Amino acid sequence: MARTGTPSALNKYSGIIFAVTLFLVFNLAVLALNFYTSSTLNNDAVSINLAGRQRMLSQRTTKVLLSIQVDAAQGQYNDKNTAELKKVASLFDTTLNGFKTGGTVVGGDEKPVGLEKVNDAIAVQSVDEALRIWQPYKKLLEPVINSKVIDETSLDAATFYARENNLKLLKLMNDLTSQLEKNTKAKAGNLQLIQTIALVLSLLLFANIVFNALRKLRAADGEIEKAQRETTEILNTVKEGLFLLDPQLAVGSQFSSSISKILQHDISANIPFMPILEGLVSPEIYSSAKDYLDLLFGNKVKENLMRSLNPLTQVKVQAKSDVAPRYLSFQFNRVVEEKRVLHLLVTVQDVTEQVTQAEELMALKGQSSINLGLLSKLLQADVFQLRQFLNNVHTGLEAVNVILANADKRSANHEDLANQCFRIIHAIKGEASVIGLDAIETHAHQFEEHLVLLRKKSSWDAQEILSLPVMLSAMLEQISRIETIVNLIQSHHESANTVQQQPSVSTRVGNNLLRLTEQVSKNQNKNVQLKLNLALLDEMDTKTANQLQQIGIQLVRNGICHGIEPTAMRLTKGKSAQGEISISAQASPEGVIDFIVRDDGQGIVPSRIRAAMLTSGRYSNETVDQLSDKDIVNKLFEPGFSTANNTDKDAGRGVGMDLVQSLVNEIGGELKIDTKPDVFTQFTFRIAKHASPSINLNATEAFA
Amino acid sequence: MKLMIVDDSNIIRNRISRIMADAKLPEIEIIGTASSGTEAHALFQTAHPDIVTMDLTMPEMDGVECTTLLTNLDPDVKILIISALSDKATAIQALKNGAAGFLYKPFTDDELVNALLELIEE
Repeated sequence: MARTGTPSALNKYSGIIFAVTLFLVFNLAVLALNFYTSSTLNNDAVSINLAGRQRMLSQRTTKVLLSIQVDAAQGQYNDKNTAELKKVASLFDTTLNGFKTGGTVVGGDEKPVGLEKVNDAIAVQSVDEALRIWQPYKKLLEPVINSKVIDETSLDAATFYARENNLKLLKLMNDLTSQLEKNTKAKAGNLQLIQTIALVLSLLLFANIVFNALRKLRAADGEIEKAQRETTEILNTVKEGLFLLDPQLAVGSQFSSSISKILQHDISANIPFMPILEGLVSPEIYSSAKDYLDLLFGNKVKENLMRSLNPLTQVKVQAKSDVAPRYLSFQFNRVVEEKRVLHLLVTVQDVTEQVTQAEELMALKGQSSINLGLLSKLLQADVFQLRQFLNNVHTGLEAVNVILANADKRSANHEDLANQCFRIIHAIKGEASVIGLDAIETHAHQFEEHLVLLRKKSSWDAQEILSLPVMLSAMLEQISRIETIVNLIQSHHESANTVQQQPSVSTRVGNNLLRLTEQVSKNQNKNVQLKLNLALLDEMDTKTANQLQQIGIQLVRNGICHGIEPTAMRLTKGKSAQGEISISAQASPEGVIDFIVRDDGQGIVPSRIRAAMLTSGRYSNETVDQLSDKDIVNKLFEPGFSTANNTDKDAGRGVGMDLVQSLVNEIGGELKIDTKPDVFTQFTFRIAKHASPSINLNATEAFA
Repeated sequence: MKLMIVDDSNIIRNRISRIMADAKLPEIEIIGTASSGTEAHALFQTAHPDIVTMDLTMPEMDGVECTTLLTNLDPDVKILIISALSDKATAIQALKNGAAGFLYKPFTDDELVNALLELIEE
């Protein structure tokens, strides 16, 4: 500061320094002028004095001359008079010549003084005139002075001349004196004027210096004030908390106003920082921070290394007044002078938003990977099947919409409505899982979970009823997104002229069921093989074939989840490690079609179902005891019945068999269950003759 | 300058030795390795190293404790703490107890060499 300050200070004060110098030079000049003038005035005084003496000398000369004449008339000679005449005449002569040419003359006190020649025109004229009169006078006086006796002739001539010219000479000397006095007065007046002007000027200069100095001072003060004001403004407006920390860990006098809000603590100068921190962070972080600050002030470890050690970056804080935890980032910068850390500049930011955003971004990343997964599934799936699925979903969701429209009627049986929705959503879920559209499956699963909650309640409040359409519309939105993608894929296929050969119904259904088996057995960690014989489906109408696929989906799922045992258990029972499920559509001897789903699992054992009912905690002892074996098996078809301990995507909602029953009712026909403990379970759906007018009976006979 | 390597993992010990061999620094010479704080303490008193690379998490005696011991024996010894990022608090402790620098695991060859050279320069 000091090194760079000097030249700028010189610069800053150059105006004042210049003014003061000017002031001094000016005053010196005035002083010199004064000195000079007063010395000339001194000379003038001599001249005036001598001019005045000339008057006296002219009269004295005449008087002595007359005295000599008087003496001569009486015949007397007085050499005293002659000597005096000589003296006064000589004095007058030298003085008068002195006025004319300048020189040294004898002064009033008999000492020689310098006499300046007169310059003024009037005075010169007076002197010249006087000399003109004096020169003859002087000549006439000489014989008188030099004669040692009475010389009447010379004396008469001189006296005569003196009488003629004495008054003239006196007047001339008088004029000279007055003129010299007048000049001197004028000079003195000038001097006074100069002095007055100089005084005024120096006062002005002084005033100017004082004014400038004050102005500079005020400007400097203003700048300091402005700088201070700006600092204050900055500190008042920055969002970050800024403050200085001294080695005693107290907050300095300069801090941003936001700091109090960020730290949720009133900050004032010299307030100790550590207790505030202690109230914000965990004890572990606090103790680390304390050591960290000591290390910072120690100044041994390099700043960039220290920065990476900062325990207060993105630190979770919760002040007493905080409703939810926040995240703060503290940054410390050393303020070093001569290798000593004087202060730490602390910057504090509330990064809660960034941290939350980062978390959301992570979640989004997960979501986008789901979307990518969905896209790749859509690209792999066959477009025709996707279209059909989307149609089914639309129909299903519309049906749900109608059901929900009835939900707010008072008379509505809510449990029943929930069950209806459940069946539809469950079917969608099944189909979605078959095609491999995990995203929709997950969505449907969430929808189901919500319905489970509603099913348990005797009445729905407005909030609950409203939440369903929200979920419904979310699903519709998802479906429409998929539709857009499917349309794009289709148009791409068409433009590339690669429209896939539409597979037969039996192949499509078969593939779907194979995929489902693969997926569910993987989920359930079971080893299952699916055998298919579905050629007859190709002869049915699409609607029935789809409904049968739905039944197949539910029964295959149930077979894997509840029928087929885990591999280890199968081996202890002496069965093959791999379970087997077969699905077939067969023409029966009676001329109708049997849709058969059979698994070689543990069978349906009433005692086991009873036990499972009890352990599931959903049924009381009494309920279970009252039911006959047949009732128990029938229970399987009741909505909401389940023996699974956990609800997952594949089982546990108690909706599958309910859905099968309602599909059977829709198509028309009979459902028969045959089962043998530890050997097999077989569902035989005998489709009523009238149900499928398109069935080619001749063809079925041919197959039989 | 004599260097002692302290780490309970022989993989890390070997890695540091190999890095130093590759770097061919005439000013640094490895005088020994220790697999625990106790071993380091014993070796320190016989070999008198000038620089030490110190792991933080070790059985029996941890890096912080060992650092305190060694700096008490020789206040001029320069100890480079090698720690995991999650060990911030422990690293701070070690620095407070006299360690001169630290390096995060995992580190590259250059990072280790630079950290050691920086330590010597100071």
